[in-house]
Amino acid sequence: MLPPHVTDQAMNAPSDAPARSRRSLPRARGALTFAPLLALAAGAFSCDDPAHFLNAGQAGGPKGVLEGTVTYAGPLPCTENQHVVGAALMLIFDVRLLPPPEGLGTSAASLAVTPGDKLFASLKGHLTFNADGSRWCPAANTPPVTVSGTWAAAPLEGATYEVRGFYDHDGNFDPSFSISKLPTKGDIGGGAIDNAADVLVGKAPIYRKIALGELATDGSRYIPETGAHISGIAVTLALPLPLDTPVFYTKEVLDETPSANKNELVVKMPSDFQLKTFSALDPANTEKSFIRMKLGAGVPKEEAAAAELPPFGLPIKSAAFIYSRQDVNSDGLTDGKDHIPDSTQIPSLFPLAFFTKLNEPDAAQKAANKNKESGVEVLTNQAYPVIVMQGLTLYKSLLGTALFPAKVDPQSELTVALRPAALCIDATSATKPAVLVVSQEKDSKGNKILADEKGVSDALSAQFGRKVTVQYGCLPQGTYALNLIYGTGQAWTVPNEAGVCIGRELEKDKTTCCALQGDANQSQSTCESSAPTRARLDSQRGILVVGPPTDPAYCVKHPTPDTCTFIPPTPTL
Amino acid sequence: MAQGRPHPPAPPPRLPRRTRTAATFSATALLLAATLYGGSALADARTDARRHFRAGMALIEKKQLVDGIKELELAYQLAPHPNVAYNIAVAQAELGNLELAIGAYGTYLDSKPPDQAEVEGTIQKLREKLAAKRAAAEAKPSETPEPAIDKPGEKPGDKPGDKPIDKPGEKPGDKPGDKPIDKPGEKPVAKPGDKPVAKPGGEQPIGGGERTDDIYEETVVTASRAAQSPLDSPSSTTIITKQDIRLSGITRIPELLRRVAGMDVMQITGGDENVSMRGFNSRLANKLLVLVNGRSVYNDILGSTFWETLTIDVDQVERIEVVRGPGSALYGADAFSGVVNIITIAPGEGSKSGVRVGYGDHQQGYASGWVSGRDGDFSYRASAGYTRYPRWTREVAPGRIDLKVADFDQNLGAENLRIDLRTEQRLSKDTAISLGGGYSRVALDVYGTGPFNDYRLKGDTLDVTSAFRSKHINARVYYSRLAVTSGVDYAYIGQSLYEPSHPTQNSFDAELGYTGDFKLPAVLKHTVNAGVGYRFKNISWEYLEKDTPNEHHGSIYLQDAISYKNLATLVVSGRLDYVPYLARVVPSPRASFILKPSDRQAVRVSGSTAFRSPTFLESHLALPIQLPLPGAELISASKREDDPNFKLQPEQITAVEASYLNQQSDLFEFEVTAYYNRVTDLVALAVNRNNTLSTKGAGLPGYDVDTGRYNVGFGGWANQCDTYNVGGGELGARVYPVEGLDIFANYALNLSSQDRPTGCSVPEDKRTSTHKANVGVQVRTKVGINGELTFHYQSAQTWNEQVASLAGINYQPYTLPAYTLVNARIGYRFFKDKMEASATVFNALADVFGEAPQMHPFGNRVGRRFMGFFTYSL
Repeated sequence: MLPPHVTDQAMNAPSDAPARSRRSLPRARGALTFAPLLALAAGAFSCDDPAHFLNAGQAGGPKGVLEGTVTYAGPLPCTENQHVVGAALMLIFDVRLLPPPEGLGTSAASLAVTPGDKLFASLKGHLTFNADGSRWCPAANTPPVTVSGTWAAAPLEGATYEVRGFYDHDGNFDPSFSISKLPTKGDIGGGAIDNAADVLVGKAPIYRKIALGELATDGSRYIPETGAHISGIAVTLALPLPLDTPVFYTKEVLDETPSANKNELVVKMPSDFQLKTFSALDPANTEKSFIRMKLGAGVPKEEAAAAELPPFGLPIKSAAFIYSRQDVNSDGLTDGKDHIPDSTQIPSLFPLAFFTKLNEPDAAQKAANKNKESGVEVLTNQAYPVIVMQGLTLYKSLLGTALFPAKVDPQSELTVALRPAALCIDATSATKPAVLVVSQEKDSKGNKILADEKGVSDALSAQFGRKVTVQYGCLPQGTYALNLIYGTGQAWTVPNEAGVCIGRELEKDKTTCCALQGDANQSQSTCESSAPTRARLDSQRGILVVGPPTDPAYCVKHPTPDTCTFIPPTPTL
Repeated sequence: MAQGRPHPPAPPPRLPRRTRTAATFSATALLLAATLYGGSALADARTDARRHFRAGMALIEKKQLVDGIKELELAYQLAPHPNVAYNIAVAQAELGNLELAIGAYGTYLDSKPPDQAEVEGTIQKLREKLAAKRAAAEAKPSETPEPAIDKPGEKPGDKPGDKPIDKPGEKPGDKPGDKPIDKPGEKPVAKPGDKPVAKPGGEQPIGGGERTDDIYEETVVTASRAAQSPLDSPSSTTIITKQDIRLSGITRIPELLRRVAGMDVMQITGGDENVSMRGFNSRLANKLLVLVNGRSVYNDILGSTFWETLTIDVDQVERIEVVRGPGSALYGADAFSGVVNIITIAPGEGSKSGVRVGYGDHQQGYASGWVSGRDGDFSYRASAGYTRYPRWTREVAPGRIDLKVADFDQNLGAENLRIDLRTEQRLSKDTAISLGGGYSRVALDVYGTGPFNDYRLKGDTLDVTSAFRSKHINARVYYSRLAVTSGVDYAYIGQSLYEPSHPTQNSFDAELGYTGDFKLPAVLKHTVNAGVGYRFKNISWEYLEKDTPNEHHGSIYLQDAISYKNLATLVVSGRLDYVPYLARVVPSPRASFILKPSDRQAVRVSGSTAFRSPTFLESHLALPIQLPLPGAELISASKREDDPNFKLQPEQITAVEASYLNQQSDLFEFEVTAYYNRVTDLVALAVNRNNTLSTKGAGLPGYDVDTGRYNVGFGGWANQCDTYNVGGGELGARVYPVEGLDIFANYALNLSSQDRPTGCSVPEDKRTSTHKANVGVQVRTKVGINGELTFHYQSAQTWNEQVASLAGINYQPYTLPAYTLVNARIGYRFFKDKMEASATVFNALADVFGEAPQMHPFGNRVGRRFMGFFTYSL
């Protein structure tokens, strides 16, 4: 295969240009004297296009484009300030980093927006725009409408993608903050779905797999020199979301283990944590062997007023947890086959609970984290590789969970048991094996933690599309966030921005953050008296800390697998 | 008109062989030096003419009038100048060769000098005297007719002045490329240096004395806003002469500047050249004030100079003056690291008409035509031209399916179609008014800051200029306009081309200056330059705030050069600029002390400050920048919604400089300069300030209803928190070993370091080459062949460029390897020197020792280019 610049030149050369003429220029070397100059000048003139060159660090290299239409079927939108409220949001997910519950991704590869003004332009006559700019919303009995628009997302890397989306009906989406970047109740969900008709009658969506770029020998995809462009991707948004995001806080720590956690904001677990009892025959003691976190729906009463106001606007008025069974094997049915990997007796319940490891703060951030007992003060992003400890969502108790009824009412509390096992996945590689590291092979009584090690491995391998091996060793130490996720993809994470002064904010006092002034690379960053402020919600800064082992010798013998500590280079464009 | 005048002078005598052996600097030079002998005149030989002029005047001073006249005639032959004709006339009169003196005065009058009446009176007196002599001779036929001034052994016709100064029918400036060096009005009258030469018998000469001003000496007007020798300049100054321009064959002015020691020149695209002085070059370089005949062509929107939008081309340029170091003391804001003043050929000067056309590979094109004339006191010069430069390399490869490409020629770097007309009406000996204007239709491919790589401009530039000048008072008003459509050249599908975009700049300038001198006390001569200025700026652009205000800038400056017996001069300058954006007055002082051990040596020590006020883009930016996540954007704005008290400060430079200039010899000259610059408050893109819940709580919207994107943070501009300490020096020399051969070389050292206060995280930047060097050889032969060969070297650089990434604007280091440019031109003049064919090669070694160089990390690879030219002029 010819180098790109050679092919470029060949492609640009006029077809009737003599080959010698085209090649004479590069060979005209060393024109050091005047004598050959005239001859060279006379013979070397050509009308070729300039060669193509783009510096590696320069934007504009070959990338992928996804493009298509978005069709909205739902209620008329609201209007405010002479504009349609909301926008259609297309979230482009790499299938290796799908959001929970299917995957472990936390953010989309790209975000495309079709503004409400454009999407509903054809229906402008049916909308009311209040002269004073106040919000107008259609009456509840207004017939639904169907409109279409276009969208495009680029630049994208070579990969296989899914497009998920929703119409932000209430206009409260904001990708800057984890507390506002997922759909809320009333938004209209959907995506590029292969079974759109089935979804409308209640079936789970099957998202279209969109392979962008050429297939490499290692199974990954890359963008060829000419770029990659897939058009005609039809996104349908037609499913009103019935649930609010599962806003929660840690109400209490239930810990009868030697860790004896009492501080609900900083729950600690040693990296060599060993369950005292893990036996299906002894569910009561098994449950007690776990560190458990009792979560409350919404926020504590004392924070409720602030939480409902801007900039949070949290949906906590009737906050409750909506339990449901997870269709683990995606067969469209929720039955006895849908259980947690480590026990066939325990159904997997929504909301799922995941503890995700966060990046370690840098030195300056660590210094800023003054009070380590009051939860995290520096909020960092999810760590690479992705390290997830899946909690066990309990309905009242372990036994209650095993006996989960067909229908349960919304609950104000939810209990999550901390499994001492972490899944480590290098999400930047499509094929790199993942590891499930389990802190101990057996409980203190000699019961195996994974009765069916292969079964667990197979189940996880199937779920994450790569080989997942099981290793026994110390858990990756660090700070973990807790995520609750509904089957709709709606989720809530603690700690979050509501509880932590983040980025260019300083903690003005125990309950207030203020916006920094000055420039980020300068020393004069200050929080002046005129700086904007906002409330800080203490309940939203709780963390799980996997700390040093109780028996260091064990970790020497059973170290944390390398897969859990590999740090890939910082991704760049 | 020239009838009755003496005949052309004989060819200059051959140079002694020992002189030729001096030309051993390079094999090429030797080879070419061998062609120096025989044939007709050398062209563009200002340096050689200067040598003959100086020799002639020295001989006349010693009363060796015959030899002196010979030297002056040689000088005139090489580079005609009316003052040389005048001096020949005076010397001939002194010799008693009245007829020859009258002829030489006649030649002088052909240039229509402002002292025409005075000289005509002299001629009349000479005629009367001649008539009287003839009458006396007729009365005494047996007597020897004229004093036997001729040396023994001289043959008829050997006597200096026996030949006409011009070829029959020619006037000064008739020859291609020949022209009076100065405007006729600039040095027309007897000046303090004019020395009436007493006749041996004590008889006073008729008319004034010889004009001893070194008219071939390069003069600069930029350093003090008045003509002076570089020896007297308060700043280190370099001149690119017309000879340099013509022999180089280079048609890009920035590339001509590359040969100046200390200049930083980079070509990013085929149409985007960025020039700075002693460092701090950048995309949209903004540290250098560029003038055309003193008129600012600084782009107030971006702060840059779009060199390829000028309404003139190199064929209209008389010289380019480069003043190193801060120049705000006279020029105010933006003369940060230096001033470049492009001096065009004055109306009525130069060849009467001409045309040059050129064509090169990759569809390079060049055409220039001009007419210049004088009718009594009215003179004019009109030119028109066309330039086309292709991109060096193109960013968009064929067949790309992920991009949308703007409606712009993807092979085009710059295209310029221009016309320029300047006129002057002389009112009296010392006063004149001028009126003129220029227009160019341009298309450019440039690189902006941040994500705006590969940005296109298409539109017009215009200026209308009127001026009044007199002995003491100068006034000028001019209107400038830049109006283009612009946008990024390409974008990924789904990303913005940043359209519509119509940056428009209208500016109006009024300047009033005074020049005069007085003595106080008697031993100290004060030369005062003072002036006031006003500049009105009206800018609009979709990228700026909707209510971008009109700006009214005011300035006042004063310079006093206090001289003691031409031995020492203290130059004190200062200027106050009112900057509307800052709502305050910014002072810019400068002081220089010049010691002249001899007339042609100068030691200079100076200290100065300068500032660059924020451009309109920096002070009024309001542009949502779409991020690689197409639904997200960054609000890049000068007014910070998240930090209302923020105000960008002007960049500041404080400099000290010491230099030594030696022009003592006619065979060489050199200058060595050392400097230290302290630079603070550099303006750069602000590091992103991500949205926070606090700012959101304060009401800053997350969703931009105008763009349909989500705002995730704030950008804009910031003053960098680090301080640059730059030390260095320049060493430049020019050697004239034999007639027709110039060799020049220079070297620049630049050592830069940064002080970062605690908390300042600006990364280290080494974007300026530590070492830069130029070596060039110019050859002019009498057989019509002429040319130039130049080498330019600059050492490696490491740029810390601000780039857009998923996280916003960040610094990333890029290393650029050292590179060498080898450029050459060869030309052949024929048809009585009226025609010339020439060929040039730029960057001849482009890919010989590796890949063609990049001059900026994101720039094109600058490859080899050939071009051929044909010139015809009258």
